[in-house]
Amino acid sequence: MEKKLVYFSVVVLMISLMTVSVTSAGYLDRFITGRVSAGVNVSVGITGIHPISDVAIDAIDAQTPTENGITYVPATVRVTDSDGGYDVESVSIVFTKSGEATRSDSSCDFVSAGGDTAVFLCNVSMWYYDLNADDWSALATATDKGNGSYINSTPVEFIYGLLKAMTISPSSISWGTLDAGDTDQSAIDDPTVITNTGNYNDTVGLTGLNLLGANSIDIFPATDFAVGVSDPACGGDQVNVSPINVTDSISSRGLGATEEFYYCVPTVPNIPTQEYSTANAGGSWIVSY
Amino acid sequence: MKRGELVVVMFVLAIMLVGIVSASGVSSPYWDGKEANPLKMYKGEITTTNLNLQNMVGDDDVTYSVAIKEGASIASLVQGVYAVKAHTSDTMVPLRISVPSDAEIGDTTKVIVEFKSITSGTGGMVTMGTGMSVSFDVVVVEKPKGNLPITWIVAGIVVLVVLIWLISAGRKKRKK
Repeated sequence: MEKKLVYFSVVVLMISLMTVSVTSAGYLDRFITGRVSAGVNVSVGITGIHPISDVAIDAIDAQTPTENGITYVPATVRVTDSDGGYDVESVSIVFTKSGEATRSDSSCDFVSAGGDTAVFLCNVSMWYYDLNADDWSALATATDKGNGSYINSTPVEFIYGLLKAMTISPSSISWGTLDAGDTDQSAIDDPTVITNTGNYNDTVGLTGLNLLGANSIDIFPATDFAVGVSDPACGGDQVNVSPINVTDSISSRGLGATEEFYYCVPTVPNIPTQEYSTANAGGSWIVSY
Repeated sequence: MKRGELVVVMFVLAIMLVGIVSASGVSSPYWDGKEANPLKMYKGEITTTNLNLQNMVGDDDVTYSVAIKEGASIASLVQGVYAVKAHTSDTMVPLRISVPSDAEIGDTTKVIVEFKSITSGTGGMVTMGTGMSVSFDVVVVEKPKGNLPITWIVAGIVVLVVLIWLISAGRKKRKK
């Protein structure tokens, strides 16, 4: 019974020692002076001397570009500091991809702190024309409040998707009046201006459609038209009802990046006199990425 | 007009009535070509990936026709026509991909999905529309040896502890 009492006493003593706050004072502390009055609130900012020990970025979801706009990419950063989560001064993040402009958030938002970890939320603006790739790299940097040192995270890769998007203007083209046998007749209201509002970067295609006469019988074949990226386009590519890649066309990436299509009827066919249009055929020509 | 002379009269005035901008866009998490990002799947796996239709430019709603041009043996669509409101970017086109269970590791199937804006079909001699094709490879890869789910690990530990307790209890009983 006595033995048990001794064990119990030792355990209680150890628990007490572990829960008691430990304080200490150095030699220079004797210069700390002051007069304390009852009822006065005193707040003291305490910063730690230990550097940040770890910076980690949560996995970043695959991102979808926004047509002609910005996609805000969220990234959660967790910073570990043995002096406590509040000892983190700031967090920044950069997204990089070889050959592309760097995207960044220089001041991520503090979200919370618990124990030795602080959580920050970064929001990085990515543009619609930023390259689609599965290896955009995110790197966060956290700065310590106490000693001013900083530490980088391990890079995290994420996917920035492909966006094929465009605007075209005008939405139709015409030739006015044509006579059979006329040659090299250019459209009167071209070019079709194709503005790249995504990040696709390759040739531009065109799919034709035979024009149908008002009598719904006679056709003006799509193959009697030519298309090119410069005016006149009479020596350009022959339009077809199946898709063609227009020679020398390119959908550049960037703000206001455009391509232009010009059209020509190299030789007006000998077909009955009437109005011909794609509308009569119930469709349209398709400019495609 | 003289007989024998072909005059093709065009709808010039109608041009004035039609919109001047046609806009459309589709986004895909997978693509081929430069810096290709194929869809990797296991044999026998079925997944649905969303292609994202956008209409952020212009003030008109756009209707798209959607069709699978290649890879129909493993890919299928839920519907063939999608209406996309102006200034939206959240219209999803679910694309179901199903890899046969007898596929071989390394098998690659090209999937091409074609989108075409459906125009009103009025105005102008040649109405212009827009189209995009999404093209990517589906590659059959080996299924990684997955770790046991945490619930199974916990269940295993619990069973082990109970077994140890039962054995030790049995021994004590025998001693008595």
